[in-house]
Amino acid sequence: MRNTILSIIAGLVLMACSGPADVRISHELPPIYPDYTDVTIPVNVAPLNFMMRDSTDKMIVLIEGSNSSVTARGNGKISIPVKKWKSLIASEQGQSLSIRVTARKNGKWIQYAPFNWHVKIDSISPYLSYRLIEPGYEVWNKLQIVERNIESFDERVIADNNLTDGSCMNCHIYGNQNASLSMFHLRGKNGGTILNKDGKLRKINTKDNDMISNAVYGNFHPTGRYAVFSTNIIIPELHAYKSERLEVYDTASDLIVLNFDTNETSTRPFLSDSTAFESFPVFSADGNLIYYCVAPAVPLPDSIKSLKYSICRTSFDAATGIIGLQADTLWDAKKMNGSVCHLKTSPDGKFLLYTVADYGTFPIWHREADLQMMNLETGKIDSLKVVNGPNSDSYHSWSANSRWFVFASKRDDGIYGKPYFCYIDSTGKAHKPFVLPQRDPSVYDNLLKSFNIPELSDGPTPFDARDIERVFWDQEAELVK
Amino acid sequence: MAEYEKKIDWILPVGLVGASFLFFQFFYPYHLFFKEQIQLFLFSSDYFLSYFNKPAWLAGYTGDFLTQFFYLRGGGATVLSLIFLLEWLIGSIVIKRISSTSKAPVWALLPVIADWILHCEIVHSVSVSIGFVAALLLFLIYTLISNRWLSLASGPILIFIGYWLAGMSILILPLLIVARDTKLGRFSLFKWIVAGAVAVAIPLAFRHYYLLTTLQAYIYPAIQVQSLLLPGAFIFTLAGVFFLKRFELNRPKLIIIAVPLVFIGLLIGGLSVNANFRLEKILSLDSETYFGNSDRVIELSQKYNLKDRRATYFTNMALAENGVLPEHLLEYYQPSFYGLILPVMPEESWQSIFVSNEVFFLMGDMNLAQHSAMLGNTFSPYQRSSRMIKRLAEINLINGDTAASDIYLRILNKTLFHKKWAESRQIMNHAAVPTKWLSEKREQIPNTDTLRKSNDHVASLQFLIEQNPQNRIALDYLLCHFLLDKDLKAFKKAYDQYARQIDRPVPLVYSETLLIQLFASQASGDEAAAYSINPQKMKDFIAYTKMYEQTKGDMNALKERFGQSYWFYYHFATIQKQ
Repeated sequence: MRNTILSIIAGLVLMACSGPADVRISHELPPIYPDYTDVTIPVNVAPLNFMMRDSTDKMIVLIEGSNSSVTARGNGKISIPVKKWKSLIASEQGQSLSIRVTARKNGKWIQYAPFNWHVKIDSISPYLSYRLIEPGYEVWNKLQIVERNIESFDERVIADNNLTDGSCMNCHIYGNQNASLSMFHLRGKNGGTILNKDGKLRKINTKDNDMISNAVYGNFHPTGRYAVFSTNIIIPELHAYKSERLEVYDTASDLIVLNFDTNETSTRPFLSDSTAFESFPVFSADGNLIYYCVAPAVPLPDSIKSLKYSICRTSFDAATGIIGLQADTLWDAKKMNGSVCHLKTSPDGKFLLYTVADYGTFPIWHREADLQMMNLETGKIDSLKVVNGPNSDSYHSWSANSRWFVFASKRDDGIYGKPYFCYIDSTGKAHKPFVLPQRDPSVYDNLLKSFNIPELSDGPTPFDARDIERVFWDQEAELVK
Repeated sequence: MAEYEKKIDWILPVGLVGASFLFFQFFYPYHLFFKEQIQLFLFSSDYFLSYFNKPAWLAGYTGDFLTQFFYLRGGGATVLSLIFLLEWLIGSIVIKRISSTSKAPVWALLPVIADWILHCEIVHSVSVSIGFVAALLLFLIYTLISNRWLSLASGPILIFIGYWLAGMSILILPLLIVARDTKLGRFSLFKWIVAGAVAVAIPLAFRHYYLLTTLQAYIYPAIQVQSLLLPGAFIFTLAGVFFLKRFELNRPKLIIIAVPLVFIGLLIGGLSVNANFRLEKILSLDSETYFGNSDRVIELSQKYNLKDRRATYFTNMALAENGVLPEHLLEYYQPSFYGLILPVMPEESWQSIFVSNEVFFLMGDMNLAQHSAMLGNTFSPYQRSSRMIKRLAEINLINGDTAASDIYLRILNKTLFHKKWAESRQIMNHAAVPTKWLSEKREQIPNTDTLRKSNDHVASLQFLIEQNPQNRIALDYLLCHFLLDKDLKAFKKAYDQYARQIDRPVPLVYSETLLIQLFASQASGDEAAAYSINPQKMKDFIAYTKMYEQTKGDMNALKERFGQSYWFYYHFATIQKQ
């Protein structure tokens, strides 16, 4: 009797430890979600957990490097052990990991064709902030600005509008990917532009009597002393045809530079000209130039498809805060037959990354919107074919080492934007991007919010939602002159 | 105890619970249907984990789990009456533990009554009730501890755990501890102060962790202050037990009779104040619209005869769906054109925004429907609504946006009662040949594009008709908009441009409107004849005009014969800007 029982137990153990039997070999890549097949990843990223959405009820995933391997098992999804992952990926820097997925569907095992994860030595700036908001047509209810550690799954809410009277909050951006230099706009009666600088939080009312609106899209000067902003009168309208959803255009927009030391604003007539719309300004990496988008004013909304923005630049003297007197054109909308927005210069000054759509100034709802990258030294434009996907690819932000950038993409479904990371190697070549990994990959399936304005930084912000609440309710806004 | 007294101990609660079932099943079911529609419960690990982002995770999860059963006819009434029974049962036990009353089963009815009254409000959730029960159960755990020092420590620990599990109802635990200790003769001011201080401090201490305002921290999982009435009613019960102890000893029969009578009075009073039967009627029109029962909507609308914009909104849709809007328009209350389409703007209530997508979906404007449904979801109390997710799935299915439709169908696949619906739509989504319903809906949608402001309904309607001249629903809405707005020139222009292409007899209200405009523009006989207006209608118009002149425009004189005519509306309806 005892022997029988022992035999049964031994048999069960053997069954549990042995691999699946009768495995069919498939030459197809596994239909995993998210699509992590043949992506390039930084050495400091959290595990790329994934799942299968079909009838898979068991998965065995073998992640093999040249020296070691990790196996992850799951039902329809896997969760790669974090410690083992960190150890594996650290030992495989500059190499490729081979991933083999074996899955059981309807009682039958299939082993799919292997794919690779190319591990780059170049780290990515480890923190990502984004706004979580319904893709709700320019209106909001519950909003949060969230900070995520890309090296783990840790998340922290750094601003929550539940604590600030339901006010809109948007455009949280960093200066030089520095967590100690950032700002975002908090609208509403007690609102203002919240500036995180020099260890303090300031609230600034960025509208003076001459400006058409409060500051909207902005960018820090590398010194942190200035920021350049657009001011915009923004009009949303709805499309009527099928999956064309929202169009947002400006009926007026200008540019200003704000000096944070003196709260003084400055502009130039050609940057606040009612015959043209100026928007999405950024400083160059060395701070000597301002790049911006500009389009000649057209009757709107009737001529919306003629509204096309070019890229121009003008000089800026950081010592005096004086903007140049003229501008030159880098990317001509008419010649290129497109419209640009969301300019971002790489920290090393080599590249200008931007979004191109057929027309207009709000590409997140334009399915054709794609990223392009201009080499500022040679003027060559990379259409980033390996990066762009179906549906809108738009807002982006560079990593501090200029090797990575994050961008918002609606490639999955055309509605909900998610943050994707892309590697630019030393030759300037882009590699296949991957989406922000989650502890549970099914999070993306159940989340009814978009990841909006993804921005990379080198560390956690020194404030949190409690601080923002205090600033909102208790702090008076400084006025600009 | 007398036999009848023993019987009262269970007859009353069973009667009350039974009455609550009857109430919610036959007099208030649509509030419960609506409660299910404004939430979304998913069987998914990340959904479960999301409850830990706020306090009262157990109460919240359990409450939302139970609320999904409100989808079933009778489900809501059953769930609520069982919860009330549980509240009574546990409440009775707690009252027995902390007082010497022999009438605990009677006293325990008061919180049940409070909860019944509160559940008449849309935003009072089952989570609050579950939290209340959980708080009482935690107190019962406390009563099992006899050791003095353990008892001192357990109060704060249970409050801490209770807040994490159940939320605001745990705040009454210090008072229950005081009552219990007093009954047992264990006076410990220090323990009571510590327990009270912990109860006050914990929500404040954790509010930033949970990202709640101070008020929210003290009422969570409730989202309105009134829900505090539930635990408050229990405290009030204890006070009643305490202060009427002497009466109970000396005149027990008075308690047996008077207390239930007072409670019944409170129930009737509370329901008369809090139960919104007018809203219930409107919700019945809404839900029957959602269920696709347009005939039932018309039937209820005739029965209720409500003078309410939202009621008119559903009635108009049902009429339009049956192709008879212009035949019966003025048989129902029409607050100008405001009862045709509900605008989506900050001034509107979330409930109005929630249902605003229905008319756009009906007439084939999928993009406006999507805009409204997306905002309906965003502004609903919990920002995740089964009804809006279904609508978004349908919209994208009709638009042929498979990937977008799949998002919502995958979500619904994780529900209990919408899974089958989602599976059938998923088949449709990926089928090579569309179904009849899908083909018909797709015929309505525009083939070209335009841009319009979200609340420029006239422009949207015109565009729809230009895209599909056979879109009668859009046409009727456009024409009814103009005539209800008394813009007869615009009406005639639109009628000439769009309606004359449609092969149907001139609908009733259109012929009445045309007659006014033709008369005002002194149209010739031939011109008038070209509209093929029913000769009897022309006679009626002449009769109206004569009577109007004879009575010098006396509304009362004209009302009996012509009260439902457009002529009467044109002369006497005053348009108030909404």
